[in-house]
Amino acid sequence: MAPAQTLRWIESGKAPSAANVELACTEPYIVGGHTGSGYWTDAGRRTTLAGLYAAGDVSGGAPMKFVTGALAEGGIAAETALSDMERFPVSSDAAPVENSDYERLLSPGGNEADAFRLEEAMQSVMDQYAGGIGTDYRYDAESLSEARRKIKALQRQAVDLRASDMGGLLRVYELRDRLTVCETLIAHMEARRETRWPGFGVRTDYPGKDNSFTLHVNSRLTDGETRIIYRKLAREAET
Amino acid sequence: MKREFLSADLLIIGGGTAGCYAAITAARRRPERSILLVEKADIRRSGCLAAGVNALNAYITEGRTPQDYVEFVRRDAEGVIRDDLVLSMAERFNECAADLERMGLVILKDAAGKYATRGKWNLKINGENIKPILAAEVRRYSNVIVLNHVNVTDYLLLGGRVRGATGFSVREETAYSFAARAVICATGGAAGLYRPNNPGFSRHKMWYPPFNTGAGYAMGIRAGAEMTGFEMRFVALRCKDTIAPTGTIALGVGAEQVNAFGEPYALRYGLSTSGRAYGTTQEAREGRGPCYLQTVGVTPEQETDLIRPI
Repeated sequence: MAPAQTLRWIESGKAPSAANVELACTEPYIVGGHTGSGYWTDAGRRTTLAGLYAAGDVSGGAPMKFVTGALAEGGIAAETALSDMERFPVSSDAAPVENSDYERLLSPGGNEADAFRLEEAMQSVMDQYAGGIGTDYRYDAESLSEARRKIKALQRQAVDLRASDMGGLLRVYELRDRLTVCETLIAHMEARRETRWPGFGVRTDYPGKDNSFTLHVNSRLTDGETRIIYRKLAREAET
Repeated sequence: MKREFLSADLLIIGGGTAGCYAAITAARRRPERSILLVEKADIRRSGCLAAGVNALNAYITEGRTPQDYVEFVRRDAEGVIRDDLVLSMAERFNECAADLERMGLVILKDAAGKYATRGKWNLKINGENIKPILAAEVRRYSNVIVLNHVNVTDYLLLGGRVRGATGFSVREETAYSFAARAVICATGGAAGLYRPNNPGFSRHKMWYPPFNTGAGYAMGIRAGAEMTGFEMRFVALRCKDTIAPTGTIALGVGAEQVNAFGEPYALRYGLSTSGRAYGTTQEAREGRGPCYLQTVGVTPEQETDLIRPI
């Protein structure tokens, strides 16, 4: 058993034969290794951006990868990338690029501690308005629209964050990345107007499964807006 | 700030399970190609397998086929999957498991010398050191350069093509610019978007690695990549407080999910991953919580096996 649980059994003096093990559900995660979230790819794990491939938890459409599936996808992506390299020679002599954001965000007396404060605010917004533990994973169109408004406000506040050292810079980026993921997540939750996986989330305004949503909900950020794209399942597209 | 520029044929962002194996595969297939693997932490203990794992949960056991696995996943995901992607990975499960064993991972065997299975798709392993094993294999190939403690933040897009990335050292004031012929994103998913089970001091005590921030998704979103299925969030059903896996107990000793009144409830909600979680939430909502895995009644032999820390 996981060491933490073994310690619990020993520390509490209650062996599993003496007391049942209490269950709990976690907060929601976005993880393509267990569910379907991630980059939209072709069979070779090519993303929709030329030259970019995805494998493992960031690669979408293939749930329940677990360890061997993550390995398999790493292998497939590597093979595709190598064979594309032969077919479409691209030189690797791209010039060095300076990311001016790093120096701009680094400043003496940086306020990266505020990143933790904004992170807690983000988690609280997602929990209450976008179906977290606090609402038993329940949400509706109205609460999602409130979540979007509040996440956007936090994004505006995050612009002012500065970091005093490289660890602080990492904190600032981690917060910004999470807020970006939240924004896309909310748009996807709005777009699926049904409840397909009630253990992962219940849309109280559409509490049942709706067969017209047996499809992929995709998105693409265009001109600052998350545009939703509905895609048919392959087996239906063929027929 | 110091500036470093590195170029390679293949740039791999993220040195977890998928990233390490992408590097290993590329290095074996093409010894003449240069591969650069960039990792935010250290590949010896990074990603989802950092702390180890006690089972390989996707293995095609005797009498089953990769297509059976596709059907299993389709049912669990209520139909919304990409058959082609699931099939292509399922076809490689067993060769990947065999490769891990060759690298030094201990896969438990039964008396007949066959892999010890647990459930329909699972192999038991001694996997505490699975990540150091993968990292050591990466290090065997001289055409792979590993850059630890560097966080990648943005893709480099030139003429509509991803041609590299930029990042920074999390330890020194150094900015990195990477150029490559092809880029593989193999970073983690996203934890920490929602208020966790244990807020405050113990907030790191969560199911998914707290250092998986969704950076790879965010980079793709910002660069205009098409993303899929974000609304299919994952909620894990775990042992309360310890966040230990329930499968080890449920599959290991056949423990049933029971509510506060000792009534089994799982069948009423369906045995999918979502259904098991839903039943547990719903029973509590309707006043029949908390719920438990019924371990009372296991035999002394089962108990000894269960308590053993792996």
